[in-house]
Amino acid sequence: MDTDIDQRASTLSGTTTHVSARSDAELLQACREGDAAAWGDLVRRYERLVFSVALRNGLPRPDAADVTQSTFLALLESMGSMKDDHRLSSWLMTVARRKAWRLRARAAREIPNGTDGFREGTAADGVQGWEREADLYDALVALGSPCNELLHGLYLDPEEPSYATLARRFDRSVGSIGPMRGRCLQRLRGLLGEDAR
Amino acid sequence: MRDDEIACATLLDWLEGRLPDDASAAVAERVRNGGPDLRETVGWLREFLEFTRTHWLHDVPPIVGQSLREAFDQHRRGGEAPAPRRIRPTLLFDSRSERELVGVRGGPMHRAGDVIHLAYTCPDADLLLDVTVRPTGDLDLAGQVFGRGGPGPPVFEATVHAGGRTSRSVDGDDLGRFRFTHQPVPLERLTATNGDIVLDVALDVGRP
Repeated sequence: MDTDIDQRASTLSGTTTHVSARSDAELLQACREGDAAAWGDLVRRYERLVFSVALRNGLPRPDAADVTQSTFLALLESMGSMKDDHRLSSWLMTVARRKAWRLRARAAREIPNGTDGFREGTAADGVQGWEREADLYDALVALGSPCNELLHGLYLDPEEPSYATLARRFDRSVGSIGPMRGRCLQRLRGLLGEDAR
Repeated sequence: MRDDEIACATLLDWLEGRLPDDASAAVAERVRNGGPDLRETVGWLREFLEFTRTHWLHDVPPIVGQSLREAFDQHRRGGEAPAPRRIRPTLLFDSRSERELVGVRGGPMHRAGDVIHLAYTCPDADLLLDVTVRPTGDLDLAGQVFGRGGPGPPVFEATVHAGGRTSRSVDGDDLGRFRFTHQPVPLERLTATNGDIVLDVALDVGRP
């Protein structure tokens, strides 16, 4: 049988963060008006954040995928009554974390010896780290392209792409990546409220 | 250049260990003797690097985006999403039968590296499965769904029941492929769903 099904079924690697020009508030308003493209932009903007929160709270990938889906479904149900459209990352992280905890608690109850076998969360998942992550994510979104994608590739992508890979992705020379990341980080620091030098 | 005016890129190269020893020592010396602004910048960069080391952003299985697109469409139309249709495809091809036809001996399950090809069909889709025997005797299962008769959602989530255990794969791609590794024998049942349909096949692989 001549098929290529023995190739590894995998998620797309080397993808970059999708950056919509519209703000969260604009996207949410468009979603309320039934704009499917705005919903797609919103999901692409935050799905990795939500999925990673669930993974860091000790869930295996299938359960983290469920939490990601149900978190966005909760957003869909709550969009009409949301009070602050400008703190969407925090809202999503809060919901995702709560759902992950519930799932873990339920799994622990279902296992006879009371341990759920999941990985422990890291100290960085504490409230302080959590708020910082939301701030960082918001700043990365505000940073826009190409800094958003570059900093994601350099510092947030578990695949850890090399400078050469990133240079190809951004159609730039390898030597330009280092200085570019310096400029992007200065801008990020400025957006996070620090004095960028 | 003043001592507190080291380029951010150079500081990052230093913090990330990308500089040669002599250049690294020179930057370290300038940071030690630098003013508060420089030390603050270095502190911020260290904190950023430390934070990102534990806060990677993982790519999300494509099934999530697909399901959420459908959920939004459903929400827009109002009402509940219909339950997916459960279908039991018919077995079209089993490479073990071919082996018997050509007189190959060896019983229903084989040696490490042996591969069983299975093909199923129904009006909505074809399903192909390759089962590979691992050296340890457990099994790898690779599958692909080829949808027919319409542009249904291409990504499938699959669940396999094997050796009394249930495993779920959410890492199917937009070519309808999915994969399981290290499954115990026997493989008993597989389901694959894209939200519209559930393909449900009984497997009989690896029984003694």
